[in-house]
Amino acid sequence: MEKEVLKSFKNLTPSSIFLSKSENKLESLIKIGFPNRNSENWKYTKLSKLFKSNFNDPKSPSLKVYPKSKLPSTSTSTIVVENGKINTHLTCLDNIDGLEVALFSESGIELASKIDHTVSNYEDAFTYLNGYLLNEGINIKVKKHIKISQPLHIVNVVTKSCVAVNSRLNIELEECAELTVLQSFISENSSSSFVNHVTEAHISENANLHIDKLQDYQNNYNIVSEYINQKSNSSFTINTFSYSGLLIRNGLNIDVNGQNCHTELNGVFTVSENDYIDNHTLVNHLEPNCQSHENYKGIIEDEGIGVFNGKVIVHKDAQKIQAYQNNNNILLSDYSKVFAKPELEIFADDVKCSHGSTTGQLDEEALFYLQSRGVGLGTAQKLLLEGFIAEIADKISCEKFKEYVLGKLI
Amino acid sequence: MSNTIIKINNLRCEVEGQEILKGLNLDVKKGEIHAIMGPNGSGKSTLSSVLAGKEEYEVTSGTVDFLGNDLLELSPEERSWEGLFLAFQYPVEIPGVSNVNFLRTALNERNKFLEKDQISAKDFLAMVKEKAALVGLNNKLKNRSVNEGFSGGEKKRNEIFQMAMLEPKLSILDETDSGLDIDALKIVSDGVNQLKSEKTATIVITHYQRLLDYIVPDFVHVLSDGKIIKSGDKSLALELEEKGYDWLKSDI
Repeated sequence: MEKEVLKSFKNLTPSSIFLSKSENKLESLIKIGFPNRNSENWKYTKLSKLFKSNFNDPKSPSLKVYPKSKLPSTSTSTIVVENGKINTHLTCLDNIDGLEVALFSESGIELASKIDHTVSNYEDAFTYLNGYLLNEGINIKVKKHIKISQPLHIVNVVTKSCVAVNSRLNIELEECAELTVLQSFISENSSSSFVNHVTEAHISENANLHIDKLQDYQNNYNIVSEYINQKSNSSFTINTFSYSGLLIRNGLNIDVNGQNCHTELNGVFTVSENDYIDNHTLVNHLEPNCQSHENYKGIIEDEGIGVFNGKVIVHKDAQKIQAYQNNNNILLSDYSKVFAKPELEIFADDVKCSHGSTTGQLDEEALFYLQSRGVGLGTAQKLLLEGFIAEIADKISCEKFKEYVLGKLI
Repeated sequence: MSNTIIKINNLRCEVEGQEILKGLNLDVKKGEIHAIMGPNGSGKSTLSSVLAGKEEYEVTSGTVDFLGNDLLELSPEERSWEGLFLAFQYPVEIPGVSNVNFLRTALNERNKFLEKDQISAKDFLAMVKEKAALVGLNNKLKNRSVNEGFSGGEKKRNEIFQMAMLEPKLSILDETDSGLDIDALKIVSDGVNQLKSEKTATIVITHYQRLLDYIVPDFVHVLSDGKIIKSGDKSLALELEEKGYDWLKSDI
């Protein structure tokens, strides 16, 4: 049984970080097994190719030069995680009062007791796999009342082919703390590798966390599982921009565990060639008087497949919730596909919730209008696509990040 | 050099297998304003769409010469670069695309085609300011998304503003008067009149004589069932207003 489940990962060395935990993770993984096409939440996800691979342990960081051309040119503190380990040569971290950055491998057991509180509310095979094989984790803590004005850029780069990388990010914001994280997942001279990443964030009362996330993985696989816990009066925003990857799957789970919270999740996914990009989101409204806003836009061309599955659950006593969910997709070719499923489950009786999804093509009338003014067809398409995602790009906190993201369209 | 801007010769055109234009002829020379009038369904808007290069319209015979070019061989953007402009009857709303940014892109693509220099930000802004004043376009509207949330009158002003920015050699105004109140009609007409020159020409397509009080045509043509059935000077428009289109139909 164990052998069968771990077939693609049999060459990999189990993690030496938090040893007791990694054994538990293996047990849990074997118990539930990996999802397949019969699992409702994974029915469109083509995992077969991933499981036919035979991954190796990642190599140590070796990049000497920052992969500038593939990243937004931000000038803020940057942590470079290469093949799961910190590239100390390229990491440049300013000393900021109230900001603590620690590595799992260098932290003691006291850190182990502080993580996984939200993760453990969910059963997910790839998250268990991540715990079992974890290469390294970063723990970021912002102390009470500290507002970090500069965004912190975390680059996750894979530079070897056919390796499996298991990385982790942990964010803890104490009361009234504020932090913006730019997260870039990219590949450099790599193909057929698998990056399995887990992010867990705990946002205390009155704290504010903003994440802008970029995924550009070309011929690699990437699964990101995110577990967010929000306390009262806190605010959480995540903007996800996914551009390429043999398989990209984002599993975003947000537990809103306090009143007067603001939650915002936005995304743009552009899928081309034979790529597959999947966004699964879950907002769990456990307490009353909160707002969540979700907006995802897909642009699918060639033979690409896109998936949007957004779920909002309003629990029984969570009255006065306002939850809005929107998804729009544009198909640019006859062979492109999108599967969209906006879901609402409401157990309270005094809420304002809406959800909707549209899929169509570029507006022919608008294209003709622009052309008739002297904008060439190609440029006109680009303008319309930029217009299509503009409301989401405008949510990006960092101007350089936004420029880069817009520049990657077509 | 020839004074002709556009010469339409025996133009026939179909939409979804149905013939709409049935042998249309029209000559427009520099400095002229032509009005094309006609009842609903006579082919007025089809004519403007065909000239602008809309895909669904299939030209089955005839030729259109535009300043020495075979117009029908050109893409919509190439027609624009050569100096054709169509002010739409129903300008489309394009959310997320900024009005001035797209115009700057349009001007630069045209300049590239004409092998001219790109327009500088400073010159462009000065031009925007000047041309917007011409049609009384509100400052805020210039920077908003194209036509998004504009009133009917604002959309038409925006069309004339774009026309002023692109400085076309031939402007086709497709029912620009529809949806305009009398004040907006005056402003839009003033704009068109100010842009008029000896080197350019205008085709005004309209249902009603009213617009022609403000934009005075040199020629008036009556389009009916896909053909021009009568041409005259501006007095023809007045006569039509008085007697209706049936008067001409029964004449044939």
